[in-house]
Amino acid sequence: MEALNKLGINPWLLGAQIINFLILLWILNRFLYKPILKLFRDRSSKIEEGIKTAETLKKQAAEAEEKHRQLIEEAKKEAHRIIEQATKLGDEEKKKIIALANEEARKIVEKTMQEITAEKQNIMNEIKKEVGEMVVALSAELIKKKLDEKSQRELIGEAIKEVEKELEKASARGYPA
Amino acid sequence: MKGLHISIAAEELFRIGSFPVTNSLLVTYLVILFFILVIFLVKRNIIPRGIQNVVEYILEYFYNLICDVFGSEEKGKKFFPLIVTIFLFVLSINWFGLLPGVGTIGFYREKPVHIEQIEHKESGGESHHQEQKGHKEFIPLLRGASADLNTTLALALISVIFTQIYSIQALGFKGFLKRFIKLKNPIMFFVGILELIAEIAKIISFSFRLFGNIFAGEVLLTVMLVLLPILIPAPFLALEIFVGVIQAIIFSFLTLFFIKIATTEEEH
Repeated sequence: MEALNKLGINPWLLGAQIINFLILLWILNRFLYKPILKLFRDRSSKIEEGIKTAETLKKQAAEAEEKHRQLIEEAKKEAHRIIEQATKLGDEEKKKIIALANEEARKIVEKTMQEITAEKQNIMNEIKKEVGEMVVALSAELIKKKLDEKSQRELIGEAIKEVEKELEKASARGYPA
Repeated sequence: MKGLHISIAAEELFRIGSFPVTNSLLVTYLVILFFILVIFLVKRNIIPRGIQNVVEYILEYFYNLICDVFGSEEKGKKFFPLIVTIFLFVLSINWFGLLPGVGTIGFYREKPVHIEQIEHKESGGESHHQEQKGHKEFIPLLRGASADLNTTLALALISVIFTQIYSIQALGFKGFLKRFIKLKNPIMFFVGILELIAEIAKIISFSFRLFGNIFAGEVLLTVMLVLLPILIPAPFLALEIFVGVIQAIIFSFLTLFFIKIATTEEEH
């Protein structure tokens, strides 16, 4: 005991230091180690969760982008299709209109031609009638008068003039010869 | 030599009943107070900042190390508090003793009556006490707690007793006894006895290693301070800071490995 005493060992102090250490151990364990270790676990689980979430979001973003791209592609295709269709439709319509116009023009020309031909026929008929009558009248004159050569020529010239006059009259009325 | 004061025992400041309050005990309480302060200062944010980083780094390092040694997180978690507390406590009391003012600020007092009386009684009136020569003695207000055998012996006892408790928990009482009492053959019987002696030797080696290193350091620093107060103590102070860490590591790691050995089944 004397040796221990000389070294300063005192049962009271020894006991006190043991208790002090145990108290410190308890305090640190309760208020520092446990919360910090729990913090480590929480943190690692949170980081894990964060990484998982980030991966999911990345995937989703990629999917969305892909969808977007597809939509744009489809829209482009659709637009192309519509434009093509419209062009085709326009072309068809144009052809149709042109054909219709051509047809109309042809019909008009045909009708006009027919009318012209009919009119011409009419005029010719009339002229024939007239000339015939004149010939008849002239013949009657000739027969009546015993014509000399001179008067005969005069008469023919008169008749020709008459015909010319008649023709002029017809053209003045608007019909081509 | 006036001014040079060296005492193996911690000086008594005052007494509460028969309980002596020494300067090293005071330092122990200051260190505990410091730890309580740290607990209040360390925030528990999920994103660490400032002092929390330091505390987390130390704790995580030890946690991983202990888990590695024991091979499982479950076991590591069980022994982690004791080993880390030993490290932090020993480190703190070692470094506290190096703070300026510790061991140098104090007061003069008439020779202590109680210690003298006890010494007189127990050594039959004949005392070898150094301070008997002087009329007054210098009492430092603070003294590094690890430069007091009471502290180091207390730590050694805790380390060894906890090791035995863990051993019983891990191996069962029968397994625990088998470590010391081996009846297979005479050689193994002596090995068992040696084991028993080793456990007791551990208490002594633990306590005197720490005490010796730190006390010697403080004596060295005191001597240097008295010889030449400027410049010369600086490298020694750096050395003592290093010794403080080394001793804390030795104490905690030896405890760790003794626990590891004591909780592992012996191979046959």
